[in-house]
Amino acid sequence: MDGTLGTDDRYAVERRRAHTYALLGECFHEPTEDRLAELAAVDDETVAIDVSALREATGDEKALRLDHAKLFVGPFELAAPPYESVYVDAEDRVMTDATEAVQAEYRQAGVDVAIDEPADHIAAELEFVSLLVATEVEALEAGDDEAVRHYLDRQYEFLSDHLGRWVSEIADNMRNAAETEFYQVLADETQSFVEGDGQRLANRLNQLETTDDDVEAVLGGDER
Amino acid sequence: MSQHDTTNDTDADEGRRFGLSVGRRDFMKAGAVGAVAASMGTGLTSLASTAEAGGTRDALVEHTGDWKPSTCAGCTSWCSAQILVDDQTNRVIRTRGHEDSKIHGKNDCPRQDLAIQQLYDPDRITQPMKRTNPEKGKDVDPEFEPISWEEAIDMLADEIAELRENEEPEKFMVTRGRYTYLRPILYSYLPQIIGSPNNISHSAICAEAEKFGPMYTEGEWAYRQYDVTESRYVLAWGADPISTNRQVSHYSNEFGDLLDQATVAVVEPRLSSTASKSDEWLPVEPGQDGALASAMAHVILRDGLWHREFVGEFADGENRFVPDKQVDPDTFEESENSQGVVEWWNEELSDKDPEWAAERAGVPADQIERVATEFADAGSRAISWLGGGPVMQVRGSYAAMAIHALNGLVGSVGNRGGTLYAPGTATEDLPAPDEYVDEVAEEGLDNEKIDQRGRLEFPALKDGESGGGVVTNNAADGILDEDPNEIKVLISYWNNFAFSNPESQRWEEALAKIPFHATIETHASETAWFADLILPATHHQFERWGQLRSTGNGYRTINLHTPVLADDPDDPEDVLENGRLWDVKTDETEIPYLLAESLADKGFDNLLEFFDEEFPDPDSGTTLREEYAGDDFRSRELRAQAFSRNAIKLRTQPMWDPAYRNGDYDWPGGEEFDSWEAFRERGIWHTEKWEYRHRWPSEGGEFGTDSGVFEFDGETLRNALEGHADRHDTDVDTVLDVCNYQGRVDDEDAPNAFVPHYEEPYGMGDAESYPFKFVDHKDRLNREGRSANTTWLHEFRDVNPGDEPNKDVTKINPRDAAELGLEDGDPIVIRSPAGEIESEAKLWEGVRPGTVAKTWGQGHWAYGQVAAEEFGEAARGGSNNMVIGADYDRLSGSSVYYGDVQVAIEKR
Repeated sequence: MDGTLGTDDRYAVERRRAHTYALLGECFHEPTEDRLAELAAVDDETVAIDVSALREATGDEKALRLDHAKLFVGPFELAAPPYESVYVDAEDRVMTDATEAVQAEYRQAGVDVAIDEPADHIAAELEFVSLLVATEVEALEAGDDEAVRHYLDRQYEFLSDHLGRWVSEIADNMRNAAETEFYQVLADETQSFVEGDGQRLANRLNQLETTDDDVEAVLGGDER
Repeated sequence: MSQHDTTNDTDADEGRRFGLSVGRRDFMKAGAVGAVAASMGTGLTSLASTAEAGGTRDALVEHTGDWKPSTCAGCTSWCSAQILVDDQTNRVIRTRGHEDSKIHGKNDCPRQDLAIQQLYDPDRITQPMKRTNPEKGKDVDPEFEPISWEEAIDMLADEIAELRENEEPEKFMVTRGRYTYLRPILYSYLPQIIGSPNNISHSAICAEAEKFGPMYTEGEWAYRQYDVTESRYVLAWGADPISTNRQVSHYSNEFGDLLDQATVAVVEPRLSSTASKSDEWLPVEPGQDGALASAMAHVILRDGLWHREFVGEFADGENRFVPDKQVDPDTFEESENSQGVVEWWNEELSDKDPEWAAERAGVPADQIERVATEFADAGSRAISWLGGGPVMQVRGSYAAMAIHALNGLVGSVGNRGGTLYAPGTATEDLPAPDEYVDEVAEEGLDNEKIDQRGRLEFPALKDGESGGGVVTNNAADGILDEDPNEIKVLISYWNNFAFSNPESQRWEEALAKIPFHATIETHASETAWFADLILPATHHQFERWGQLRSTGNGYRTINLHTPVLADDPDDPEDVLENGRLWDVKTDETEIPYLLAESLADKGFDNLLEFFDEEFPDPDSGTTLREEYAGDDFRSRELRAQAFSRNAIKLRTQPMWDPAYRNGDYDWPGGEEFDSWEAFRERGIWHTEKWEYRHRWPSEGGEFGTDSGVFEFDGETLRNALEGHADRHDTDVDTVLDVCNYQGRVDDEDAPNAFVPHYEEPYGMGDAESYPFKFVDHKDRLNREGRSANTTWLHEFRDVNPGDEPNKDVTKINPRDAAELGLEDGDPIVIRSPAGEIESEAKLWEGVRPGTVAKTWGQGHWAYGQVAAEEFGEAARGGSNNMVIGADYDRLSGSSVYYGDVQVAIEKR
């Protein structure tokens, strides 16, 4: 993601949101040396979560890999299945109607999953929201208010229909089963950010709808 | 998991999840997100920009797509299948029998539908994993972590290369479970080129004893097909053809008509699905099936009901088969089709009347009379249908012969309405590797096999040869005792020996002892728990190339497995990209190919040379390396997939290549296709229809026995037993004594060792301490033991008569229960000399007193969150294999599951 955010950036808040979703998405992938190095290098100012807490919690890489496998990969335990379908459709299934709906969202937007996983893998869903926000930022920069509102809507809808429906459940599973501090923190940070962001989106959309404030007034500036 | 149902809040909360009070907007900016994604390029991990956006239909529109051909290997019916794949989401929606199959058409059975639950099971192994805890044991957490395919293959190749360097290739081993006919690559050629004789199949825990009967009467070590549409009497022995056993789709479909036109009788200690819908149920005392078979043969001969054209006739027409009287062989003129019926009568049958059998088998004499008479009255349109139950017993081989010989008596062998085999098929053998076997390998191959087959105590007389068959379960003892040698490196695939073998506890120990073990599976099984490397397998019905076959209704079909999720299954890139949901590969082809490349990196290139030289695309002649030249791992993966495709094309070439079948190939007849694409798109090929009686010598044919005719006197068995005795420099009586049989040569007090005959049940455990006979039987939804993690298996458990949904009950006759003070639902312990399991009592009239019945397949402590009570820790239900001891029907090599297993039942 764009790491050149500055405090003078009028859309810093939005960029932070995009960056945060992308970073969280990365954190659900296998914890490789490269990923951990990337996490260590993240500028706290560019994200909207307590990244230092995550960083401090990384600890032993092997322990992280084992914990990651146990939570999200298996083979003998899948303590926190990383698929939306398992939470909203059927505990024993992937590739359900929910997966199909997520995949349809991606395709409508012009993207597709690039990992060997179903479309509703949590990392993909987080990255998708990040892309929606990044697209909204482009529209902001282009001054296309209509497009901005569209992508705000899309974000809100995706959170409402998908990620927001199950983030608390997977976070609960992670808190119950994670043996490392890192995944405990990741559960808390992911849940509170996604739920908080959904709420903020709702407030903004309400504000746009019910007041005369324009997009610039609602989204500009650097309030958090 | 703490998952709540959050599916009901969509409508009302659509706009309010986070307090939004406005409506949704509808307009689209298709493509913009993709453009942003494209501009970010490598900044993305999970998603990628697509060429085009939009075009997705409304999610509410009904699914559309193509029915693509494949094969269900959920049991040995191996039905040709068609899979509905949604054309927009690439999701498998439905599966059914192949509409073009002349065996079953669109009919399937419930097992085929369970496959979709397996395919989309979140507990599947999704990527290669390696053990990080070097300690192994049931109570030791293996601590698996993901690794890449490249690393995984490299690890495995290192281990094999080391065995080769140390010139001890015999310490390598492959175990197989289910397979497709691409199996020689991994199961035979790989160990052969490496230099190990230790490829051990599952066959002896499948039903080898069942093949013994037809082998030593008519020379066929094979399963039969039964001509039910033409039959007038079906007598099923421990076979449950509308539930389990073979070609269930066909037999289930025909069963209603069969009941209209024929009488169906079932010999089985418990009321099976088939018994519950039949005309007669003969609730036999376990282990006493042979007594019934001898008595029925007695009745048929005594009453002159045998088939004259097949068996022969007394010269003067007077029936001298009089009870307790010997017959002078000179008075009987044998037909050209069979031999030895007089010897069978004199040596075995003359005194085995229904009263004698009734005392042993617990079946009324008049019922034995009636069934035997009506069976024979059907003329040759009668079937004595042999299942595993009566014969996978310590002395089962002889019962197998007696039961199958009934078909000979009534002339139904290969005849209309009787027992048939498969017409000739136009498959081709895969290229042989002999030229690529070096000296190190040659020496390794000279070693004895780890299952000890062929030793004095393990004749395993497949096809008449001493040690010709496998003794699957004994390989555990071979490994534990390092006898004949240590096993250092094991590849196990599509099996779960730590669960599926009797007294499976031994396999846990054996697997823990092997220093390096790679397993290739779809689910993390009990076997995987002991592995060093878990390699995720494709699901056979949806994600890979392969070939199996079905046999029924007079035909054999050749059925393709195709990667149905790829748009163009011939395109390796498409298959790798779209053909699998997770990062999985095919056991029989892709993995051996990648291993060959890695072994070549380490200086041993025979395997790779073999694959490269012998497996070009038979259509174009293009070699694997010409198709994908690179040496990066991605190119190797593409070559591996091209290798899969080429292998299946080579295997089926006569069917689709007119030039090939019109060349030197010995074309057996059958459907003809003009191109690979035409065959692949259809996915099924038919033989000619079975020609009745064509193997009868009177019609110019020949049986596969040593004599060339159907044998009632066991001549071929005599030769095989003498061959085995000679090999060990001993006599047949010693062989039979060591192997726990009662038959002897020329001993008036013992049954004749060669003719089909009755032997008393062996009894595994003393009857005082273990008073009940344990009746194990298979689950209708079993999918060969691989469906335990599907919820439907548990939810619909009551498709097995007497079973209860979501439970693993033990069925006990109410009379026995009263004596034991047991009530419905009481927790119990089942104990045998081998081990014990916990269960729940179910009082049921469908088991005969003195026996308890329990469906096989539960008791998993691994395999998935549904299969296990606590995945990796606590079992759900009880595994029958913990109480079934490791013993054998040694003449066939078959493991014992039935008849002889004795248990005690106690309230917990």
